[in-house]
Amino acid sequence: MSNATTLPDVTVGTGEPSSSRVFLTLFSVALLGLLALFSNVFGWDNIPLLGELVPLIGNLGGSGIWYYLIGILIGVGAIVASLLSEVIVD
Amino acid sequence: METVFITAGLILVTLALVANYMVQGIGGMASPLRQVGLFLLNKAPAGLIDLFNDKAGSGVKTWMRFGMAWFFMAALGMFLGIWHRYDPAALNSLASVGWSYDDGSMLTDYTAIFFSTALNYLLIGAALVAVSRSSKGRLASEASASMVAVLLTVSTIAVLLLPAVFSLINVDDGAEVLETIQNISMLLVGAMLHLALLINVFITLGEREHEDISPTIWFLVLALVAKIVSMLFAFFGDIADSTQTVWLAERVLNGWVPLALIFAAAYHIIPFTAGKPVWSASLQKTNMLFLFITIPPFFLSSADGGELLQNIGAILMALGLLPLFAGSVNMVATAASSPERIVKNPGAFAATAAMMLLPIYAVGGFFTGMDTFVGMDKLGSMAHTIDTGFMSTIGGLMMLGAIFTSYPLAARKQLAKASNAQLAVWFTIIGGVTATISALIGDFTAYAVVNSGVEDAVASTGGFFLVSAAMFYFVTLATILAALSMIHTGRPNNAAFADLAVQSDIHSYTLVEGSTTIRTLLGRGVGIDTNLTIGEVEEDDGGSSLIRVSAQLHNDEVTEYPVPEELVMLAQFLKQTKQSIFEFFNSIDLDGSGEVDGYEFQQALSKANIADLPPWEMGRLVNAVDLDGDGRLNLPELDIMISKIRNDILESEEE
Repeated sequence: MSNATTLPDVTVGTGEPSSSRVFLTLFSVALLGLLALFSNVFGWDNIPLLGELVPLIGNLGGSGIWYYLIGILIGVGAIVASLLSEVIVD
Repeated sequence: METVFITAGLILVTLALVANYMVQGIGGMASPLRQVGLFLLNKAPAGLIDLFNDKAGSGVKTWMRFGMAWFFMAALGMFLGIWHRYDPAALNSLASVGWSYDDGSMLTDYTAIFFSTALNYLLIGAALVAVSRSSKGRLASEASASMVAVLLTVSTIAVLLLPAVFSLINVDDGAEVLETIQNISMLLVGAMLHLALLINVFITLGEREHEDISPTIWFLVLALVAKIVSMLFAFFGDIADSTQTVWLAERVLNGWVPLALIFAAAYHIIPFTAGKPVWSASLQKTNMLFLFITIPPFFLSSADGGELLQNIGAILMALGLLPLFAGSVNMVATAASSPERIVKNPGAFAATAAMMLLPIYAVGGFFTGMDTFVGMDKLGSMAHTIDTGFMSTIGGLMMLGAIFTSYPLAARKQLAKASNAQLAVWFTIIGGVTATISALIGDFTAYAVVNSGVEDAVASTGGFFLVSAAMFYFVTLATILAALSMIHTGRPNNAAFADLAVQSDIHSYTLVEGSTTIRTLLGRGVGIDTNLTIGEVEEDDGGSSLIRVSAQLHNDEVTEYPVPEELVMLAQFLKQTKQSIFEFFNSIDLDGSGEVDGYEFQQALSKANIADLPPWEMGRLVNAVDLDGDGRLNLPELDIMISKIRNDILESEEE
């Protein structure tokens, strides 16, 4: 039997790309956004639990821009954490 | 004669003189001027310059790190600006900490300064990488370049903070004094600092290894000269109340300089990554020549100088599209010669995408800019939208190109988090283009509605700006990804960059009959610049082929450096434990990077009970083994040293 026949047709790579975590984060945030829109899309009902929570933060700072700025603040936090860890590595 | 013609003439004469001296040289004056320049760069200002590192690459890295910070600020400012066009009261909850939007002009002005500063830093940094790589891998004074970068940021921050300071104190004619101080800080100090950088570039160029001057260096030098001269014209023109001089200086600063820097970076990143020459020399010359004699279609302001001047200006604006198209086609065609390498490299991919999008923005800028230029003002704020879109999308992509290709070269490291970098490029392309289109539709709708006279309908255009802001959010995320990638790229444990450049002292090599391989030739010391002669066997008395080597190679006095005792002990240790050098190297390469740094080597010697040396002693050992001088050890270097010790010392001891 040749070596070629022992190899599977498809393998899953072990070198995890760094962007996969970014994709997962973005998908999660987008999912939360869709859930937050639930009451807008289905005006006759509300999601239990999340429906209670979303209005609580809906008026955060009086504008939807804060949802975006929270993401940027988390990004800045990641940059600062990387810089600090660089100092520790040095 | 109109002052605008005199100013334009003086700028062009200066550029022509610089270009002439770059080609012809300055004869016997070169050496003394170089000495004076080096003295100024390395000693002035006394005390301050000593604070900065003069290690190869440190100056360029400083420029690019500062640029990254400004780039993030610019993207954030633009996101806030677009959102506020949708909802001017969005951040009113921050009024208690001093936030005030008013009409948004301050946020717009600050964002424009952030973007131009970021572009200046990152693209000059990218071009400096090309300059230093053409000349011994370093600038004439890395410390001076770092110092200039820091002082430029200090001067820019001063300009941004001065209005807040002046609002707290009472000064007679406060607005006038504020403007004067801002002009001094931004224009006069800025010109002096860029002059210091230009001198640094000139001295570095004087030591270049190849006679030819690359397009990147041409664009960089001409951009720096144009910037310095126009800053001075803007400053003194303002004092002399010469509106035409100031108008032209602004066109140079906002048009020529950013475009020249964009092309400077593109002409290095794309051909370098593709591994191919620039596609067309004539397109490159058209690109460079016409850029500096026409009016670029971006950031135009109204020219109120009579019909003749407006007509000449309109013709020069139309001609201004030519260099942009020429440069764009040239770079895209160069990238197309090696598409796989371009697509795989995030930086080159970003630069190529920028070059593909440039003509679209240029045409948009031409029509909207012409509307502003001739004072018709029929397209509302569409010119502003195109200008900011050009800066954030084309400029943003080129800045990403510099971060992902030039920065790793300066740091001599491989790009870290490459897939994040690729994602950042896609975010910028999609976010930048859709944000521009959405905002343009909003502008157009607002204009159409205003003209229709139905004012109530204007409010509905806000949705376009909401979509625009939401899409531009991706560009802001891209800057965060780029910053993280840059930080991880510069880390000491990141893998070193494998440079393809091969150094060789052999000037010419004669191939004789038979067959051989490139590997064999490289093994014999033949480099990529060695002249290969085929079939002309030069017979000497012994009848063998001749390899002419540089005189320097043999004139060097051979000095026998004593082998450090610890390395001899290491060779003995390997012999006693019957470890191969390959096994030993793998066991000490803790991070699996294929290279061993001083720390890892120190740990290995300590574990083997050979020596427990302090960090400052390790430099001596590393230098004894480190053949390529990168400060790290790789397997061949260690193999060569241990084999040499075995042959020269251990075997002679046994005998």
